[in-house]
Amino acid sequence: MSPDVVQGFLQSIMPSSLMATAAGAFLGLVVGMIPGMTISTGIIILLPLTFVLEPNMSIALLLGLYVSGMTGGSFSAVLLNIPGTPSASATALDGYPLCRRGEAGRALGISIVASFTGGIFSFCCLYLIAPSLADVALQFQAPDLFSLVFFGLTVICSFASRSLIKGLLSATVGLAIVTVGQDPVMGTARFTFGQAELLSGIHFLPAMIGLFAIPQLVDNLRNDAARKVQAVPAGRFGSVLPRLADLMRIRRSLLIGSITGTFLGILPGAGGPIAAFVSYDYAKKMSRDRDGFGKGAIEGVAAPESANNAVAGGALIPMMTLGIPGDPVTAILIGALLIHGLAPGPLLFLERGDFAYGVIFSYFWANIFNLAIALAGIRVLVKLLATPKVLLMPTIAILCVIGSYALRNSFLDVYVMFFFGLLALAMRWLNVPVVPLLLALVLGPQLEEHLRVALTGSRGDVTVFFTHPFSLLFLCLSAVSIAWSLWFERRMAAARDQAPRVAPEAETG
Amino acid sequence: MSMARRNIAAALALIAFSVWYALLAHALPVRSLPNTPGPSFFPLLIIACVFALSLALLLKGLLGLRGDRERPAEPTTWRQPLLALAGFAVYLAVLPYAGFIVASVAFFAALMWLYGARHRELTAIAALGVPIALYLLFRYGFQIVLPRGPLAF
Repeated sequence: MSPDVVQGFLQSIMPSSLMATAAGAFLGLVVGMIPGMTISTGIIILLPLTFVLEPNMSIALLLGLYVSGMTGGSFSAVLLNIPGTPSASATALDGYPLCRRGEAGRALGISIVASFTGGIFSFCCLYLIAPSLADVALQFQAPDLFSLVFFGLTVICSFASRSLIKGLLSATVGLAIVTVGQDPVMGTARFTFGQAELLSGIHFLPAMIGLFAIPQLVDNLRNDAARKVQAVPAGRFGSVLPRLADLMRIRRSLLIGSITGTFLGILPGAGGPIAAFVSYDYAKKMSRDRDGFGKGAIEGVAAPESANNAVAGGALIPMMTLGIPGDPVTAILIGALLIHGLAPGPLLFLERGDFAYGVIFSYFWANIFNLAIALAGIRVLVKLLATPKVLLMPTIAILCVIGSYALRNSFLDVYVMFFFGLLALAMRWLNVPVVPLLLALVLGPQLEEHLRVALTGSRGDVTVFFTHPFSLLFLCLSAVSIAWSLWFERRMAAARDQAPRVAPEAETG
Repeated sequence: MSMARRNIAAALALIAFSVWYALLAHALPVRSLPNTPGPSFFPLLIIACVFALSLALLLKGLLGLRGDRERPAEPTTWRQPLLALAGFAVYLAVLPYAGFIVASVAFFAALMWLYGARHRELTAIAALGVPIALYLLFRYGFQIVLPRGPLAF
């Protein structure tokens, strides 16, 4: 066994790391459960606290929140028919009918065990695939790296929006924003308007806080239903420990969810909601009792819950090995690592193998704590569904300001946060997705650096991107993702044209 | 406003932004070896993409105008969100001069009122308690210095 694996495991079982993982898991369950709070917002709010922690503790805390946030989302989906996170939407389809039949405890138990199964399955994939993929990625040269980042961005644009033009516009505007500051190759000041503070560029952390948290504050002001959530009495839902017969019944759904979630997690941009609905659909098609779905089938809870937790491990694979985030949360995790001077990618396994394996094992512990805390504390946790928004939202607003300011003790970062919040609201009004913009902010500097290094090496010859096999492969995959997106958009438009026009036409973007 | 009209407005704004950004990028100093990309290469490449995509969005908007109809008014109100955003802007403007605690206490109370808190005593306790607790947590727990006002906190 590699010494890095042993070191990584020992790092992950240090008391400080385990405590951070457990704290993250508890917070994740709370954040995921409260409608109107997303995992991304929870992680962003927690991020400033990690500035002062050791890198392994920081990542353990954030991973705990990421994993448990997925599970917490199912609690409100089952008990209130309001998914705590978008990934739990599919869970509500059968979870809430179970709750109405007086079997909320059964649904919650299945949901917790399914989350654990999906998480552990994706941990195994992460542990087995990530080091091998990192070895392959070490062979990449500048043209390959440029094409890889380009592929990551195009896939996100294809998945994130129903309109490819809007997805690409979001990404390109993000790339334009990252050109502010010193250029990454020669150090020339660009678009700084004489401001010394702008020389280091626009930091992605305040931008992320603004992009995710400000729209959330506005949503909670506009949405009365989310503000008036009531707690479910703890005594109403019976035992949460799943019966053996139930576990046998859902074994196929668990497998479907785990495989689908891990695969879609690896694919940049797909994310939890898509994985949950795809696995729900597969589980339904492969079930003998298809008619029971939507009326309280436990397989309909198991499949999406195992899928959305498996997404987390899947998304960590491209993040850890290639530096390409699989979803917005892993984009934020990359940011968290960069703040500590650690750049995820193949070199992380080479230079800081102990830390890389530490992250992988922390993900394992996050799943263990998620299971233990959720099963043991569910009756207490659901009481937090009644957390008054009148206290929560102003606290989040203040934490956004602290988080932005604390990064560099600069008011510019606070203003940047607010600007990106307004930008996110404008983008929403235009049906433009924010995820490609976020990824462009994280990946933009790498994209420019690899492009310019590749072109400098080839003396300006652009064919270098087509003569390197890996680069050509990624460019072909980019072309496929764009073509698929265009085809899908046309198909959706054709379906809309053929549909009877009873209701006012929906926004297509 | 219909989505087609929104698309046209956004496309025109982005085209104007592209032109302005391209002029700035063009004026960047040329510091590179022959046949190698300089500091303005990437910005010009990106802004060309933004410009082309904006034109595509404009075209999409113009084509969408045919048979376009006004969307029914949204049932939700924008009054409270706009008040919250305006309050946020004022808070950020005052923060460097008033300091973290003074500015945050007022902002916290205002936000609580916007989110529906009507109990004066509880609002006052929370508006004082939460910002002070956060200040102490970050200042002494995490050693992060927050903006100080004339009252030294």
